[in-house]
Amino acid sequence: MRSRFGVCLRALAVACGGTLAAASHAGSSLRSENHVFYSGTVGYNWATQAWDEDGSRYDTDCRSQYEQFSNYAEWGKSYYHTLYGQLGLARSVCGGDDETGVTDLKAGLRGRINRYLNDRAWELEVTIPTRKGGPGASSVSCGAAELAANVERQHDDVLPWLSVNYGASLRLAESPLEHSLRGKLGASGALAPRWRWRVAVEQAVPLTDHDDSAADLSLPDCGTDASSTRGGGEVKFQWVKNVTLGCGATMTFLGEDTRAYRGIYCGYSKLWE
Amino acid sequence: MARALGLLLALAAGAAGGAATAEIPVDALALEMRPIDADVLFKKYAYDKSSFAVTVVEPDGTRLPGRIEVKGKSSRLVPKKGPLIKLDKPLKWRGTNARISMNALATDATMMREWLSWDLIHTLGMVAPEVRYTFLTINGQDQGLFLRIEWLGPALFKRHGHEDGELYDPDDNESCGDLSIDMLPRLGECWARLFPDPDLSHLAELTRAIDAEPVETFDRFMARAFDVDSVVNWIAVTVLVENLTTYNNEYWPYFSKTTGKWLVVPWDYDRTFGKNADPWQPFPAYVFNDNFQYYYPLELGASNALRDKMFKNAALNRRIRDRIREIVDGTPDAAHPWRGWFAPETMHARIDRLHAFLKPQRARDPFLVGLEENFEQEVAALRHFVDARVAYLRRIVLADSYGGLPDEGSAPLPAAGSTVHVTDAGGLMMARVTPRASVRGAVQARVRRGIPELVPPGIDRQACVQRSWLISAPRDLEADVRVEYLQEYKRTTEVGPKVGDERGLTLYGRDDKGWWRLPTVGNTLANILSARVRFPGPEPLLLVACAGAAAPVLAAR
Repeated sequence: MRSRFGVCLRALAVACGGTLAAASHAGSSLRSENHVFYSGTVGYNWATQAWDEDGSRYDTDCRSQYEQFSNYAEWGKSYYHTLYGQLGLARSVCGGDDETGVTDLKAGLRGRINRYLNDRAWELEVTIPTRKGGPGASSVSCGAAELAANVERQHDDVLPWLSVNYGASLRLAESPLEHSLRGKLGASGALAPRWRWRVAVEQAVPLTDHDDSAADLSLPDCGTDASSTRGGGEVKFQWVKNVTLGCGATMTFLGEDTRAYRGIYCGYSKLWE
Repeated sequence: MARALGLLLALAAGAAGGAATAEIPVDALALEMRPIDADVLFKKYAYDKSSFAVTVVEPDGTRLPGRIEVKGKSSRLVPKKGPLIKLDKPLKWRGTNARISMNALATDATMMREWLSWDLIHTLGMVAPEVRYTFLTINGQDQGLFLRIEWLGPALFKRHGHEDGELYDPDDNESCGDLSIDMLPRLGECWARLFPDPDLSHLAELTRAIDAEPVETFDRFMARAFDVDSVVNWIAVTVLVENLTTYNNEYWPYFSKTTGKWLVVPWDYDRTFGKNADPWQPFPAYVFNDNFQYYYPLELGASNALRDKMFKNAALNRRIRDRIREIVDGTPDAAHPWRGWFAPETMHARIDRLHAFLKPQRARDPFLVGLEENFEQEVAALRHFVDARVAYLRRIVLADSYGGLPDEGSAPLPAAGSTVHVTDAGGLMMARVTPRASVRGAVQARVRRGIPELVPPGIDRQACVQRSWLISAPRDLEADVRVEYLQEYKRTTEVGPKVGDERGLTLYGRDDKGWWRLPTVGNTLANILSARVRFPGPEPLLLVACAGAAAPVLAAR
């Protein structure tokens, strides 16, 4: 029973990861055949400061705000493969710039690294932008296509109250975005019956040279040449069987050429068996 | 006429006796799958519910395509899992059902508990799924012995004369399908209606009716609303086999539109006959533990509004006890084949028959390699359960005799080679004695609970069972004596903290000459220890059970 709950929550963590650690949607577990998982998340992110290319923090000209309603879904295509995707609505504001629209579409295929286990997986993921030309100072789209290869591993019950997950993501981006490598480390566990906690940190490292593009101070989810260390935590509650509610907060701790975003979000998830 | 009656009686007696000795039917089921799917099926992540393409290959070469998955709850966690095959529409297997469901029998090392329970249920004539031992092969590879269990679909009920009914399923995870008014607000969580549609309003109506009916008139309500025998039998079977988990999630209320009445279909008997999940232990000890219980009363298991009022109503309570008495002590006839089904001698014959049947089947089971010694121990524990349970039921539930004191009992000595099971006022076994010679007299047995005050020199008292026995019988009588200790759950045990492996327990006897080390045969599953003793009389023989080396002053007698 506990394990099933854990799997369900792990899936929510993946979904909420869209906000918590927006660049990596990787999950370590696959859905059972024909099971459908949905997560809806409402988030609010803001930044009034940024780091320059030397890592010095400064006040930005405008307060950046990014409000997002994210929809993430997974479908168990077979025992061996799970399909997933994400699409949402967002509003991005900075000074006089104000854009509302559909976010970039992400779609991916997840498969098993070990055919018997459900705690490690690979993913191939594509991001289809809703506009071209790269991200602006205030936009809801990254403005370029991306292809990502992810791997993720989960260790359940490292301690009775602790599970650990970690993963890596190689992201190949269409110009003007940069290729990047991302790694993440997370932990989760039980708080009380039906309650769980989760924390995660994510490090993004650009793989190509810095070129001072306008994309640098764009959305945290875009593959710019910025480097950043982000983290966050969330608490989740199993409302009824297969339905979970959760809220969390995120923060960018360190960076170069990136905004110091902070965010809060709440999410709902449901699994159809 | 008299000859005809005599023949009828002989046939009836033969039906019960013969049922205990008849050949056990077994089927073979051959499947074909993609090799990778066959490899993954039983080894994959336990809670995955994916299905794989499968073809059932019939002996005449007929090929029936479909999908196969594994089913179950905690049974999903063990290596040998129960497969469920769903044939492609409109195919039916051997003209019966589109679904072939098999229990792996992996949580019961005897592989007998479910079969025995269903055999009793069928003998009682209940509306229940058919079961059949089935040997499974996939791509020509042996997968072992399973228990095929009929799918609970409309066809099953039609076979029993019920058409267009409603079948309700208490949720196995929520465990709140107890028909109580308190659970009514959670009806949708606790229950699902499997057919004809998901509407639960009729079940809600039944729940309210059970709550509203006074205890005094509950027997009349039951006669109006229920097939009363189905409920009486369900409870009787539950009590006999000690099925602790049935009353809030493992049964199926069915409303028959043919009769306009409800009936109960029983379900799930893998952890019975003294075996139960241990809630204080993590998996796998949660499932595979050596705890043992035979002393649960009529009111065992979770609460259930229907059952509780059945107990409270005097007429229905008497009817349940009478049915249990019939099954334990009755003499079978053509109209009542269940009578005497649970009598120890009949049960032992039935278990012997299953043992003989299962031995060669188990030898071909790849999941059971190296577990034969455990099988013998488990079967011996099952036999002991029958003896101890019947003695308990006679003393407590059927109340054949009242009086006596806790932790002590006495009984007349039987003839040489026969056995007497001495119980205390609570129905617990004080000792089981088989004299080697016929001697007139009685055996008296008393249990002192707690760490033994006296142990052989050199033995740590913490390495002893936390009880000692005082048994008296006529002087110089030699007898085989069996005693028991309590190991109900991890937190309710008399196994001393320093005992370690229970297989190291040895019985020591103390008489006027000192301590004697007794060659001991133990069964760590039934928590029993047996040894041959010579009674010193008139003082009782003191027995303790300890692990560890004894001092050299001790000797085998």
